[in-house]
Amino acid sequence: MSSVSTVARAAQAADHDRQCLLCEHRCGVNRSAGELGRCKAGTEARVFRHRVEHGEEPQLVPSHLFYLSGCDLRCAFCIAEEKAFDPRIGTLLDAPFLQQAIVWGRERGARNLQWVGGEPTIHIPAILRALSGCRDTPPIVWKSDFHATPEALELLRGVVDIHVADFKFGNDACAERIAGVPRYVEIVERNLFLARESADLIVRHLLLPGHFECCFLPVARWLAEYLPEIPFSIRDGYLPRWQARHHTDLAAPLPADIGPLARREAAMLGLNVVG
Amino acid sequence: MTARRVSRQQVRADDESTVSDIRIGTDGRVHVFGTSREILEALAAIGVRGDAVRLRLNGAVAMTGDDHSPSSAPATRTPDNQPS
Ligand code: SF4
Repeated sequence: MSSVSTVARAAQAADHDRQCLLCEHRCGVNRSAGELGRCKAGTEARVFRHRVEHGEEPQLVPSHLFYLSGCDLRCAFCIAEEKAFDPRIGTLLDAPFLQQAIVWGRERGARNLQWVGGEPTIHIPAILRALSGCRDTPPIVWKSDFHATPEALELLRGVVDIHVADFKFGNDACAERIAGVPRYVEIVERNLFLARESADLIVRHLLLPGHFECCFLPVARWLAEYLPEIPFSIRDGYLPRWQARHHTDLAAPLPADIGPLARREAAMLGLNVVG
Repeated sequence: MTARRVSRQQVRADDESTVSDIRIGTDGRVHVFGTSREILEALAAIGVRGDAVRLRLNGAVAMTGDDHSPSSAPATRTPDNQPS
């Protein structure tokens, strides 16, 4: 359960409204003055969908997911499409809205509140402000692309109970080409170590068609070497969406045999495969 | 990074909170985005096999105390290329 004052954390986080260093784009823009960085987010966060879902890892469900619009990455295959990338979409996130939603979710059996996106990192100040005005918040799950800065992760220490990290790419070239982000691997690996210090951690990897050797295997081997005990969720439900049709490798669904193959490989590496 | 100023126009989106997206591949795999308990129960009832359904229904059962024993064996996938 969250253990720190979200009021104090919200006050700290407000620094990033004035000079945003929440993600590794490190734009440094004054969002409260209307300046926009790569994510194009202002100081408000918006929820384009919230509902109690059962498709997450079994240890998380039922989970009350809050989908926030806006993201710092531009993954070509994003299933949320424009909603992920346009932070103006959705209902304003504030404490009254969140409090009411928490009650609604709890009535439907949700065992936790999960922030997803888009990417919640770009909205840390707004999320903390909303949480600080709520009572009896459930355990907090933070599902992220893990492109955050250490400063941003520090704001979540003691607030987030479970990090769910999307380790999407096993090398920088694929990350640059598909998500438009440099230095991907070193950033995610650093953040996995940081997150593990302060909360439970689940690592997720979406199998992409044609990326078994270049992405899945390096991710699995790195985890086997450094974080073998961490729950590793292998997702094999890839469908081509958004701009995926422009990438020949991503334009088709994942072949049916890749999921079982990846799970066998992960098991042979001694990984703690879940989901 | 060059900062830009834009208007704070609010764009309204359709509320998708009550809609699940189900796609069935030509190979028979079922992809569900936004899996509610009711969707899982419906999939189990029509005989969609898979640990994905069974494990998650069991999770729901643990929370609600209901008694469900859906079938198992692989067929369902939770579509995963959602953003973070
Ligand atoms: S969250 Fe990241 S992309 Fe958005 S303004 Fe801040 S540093 Fe830039």
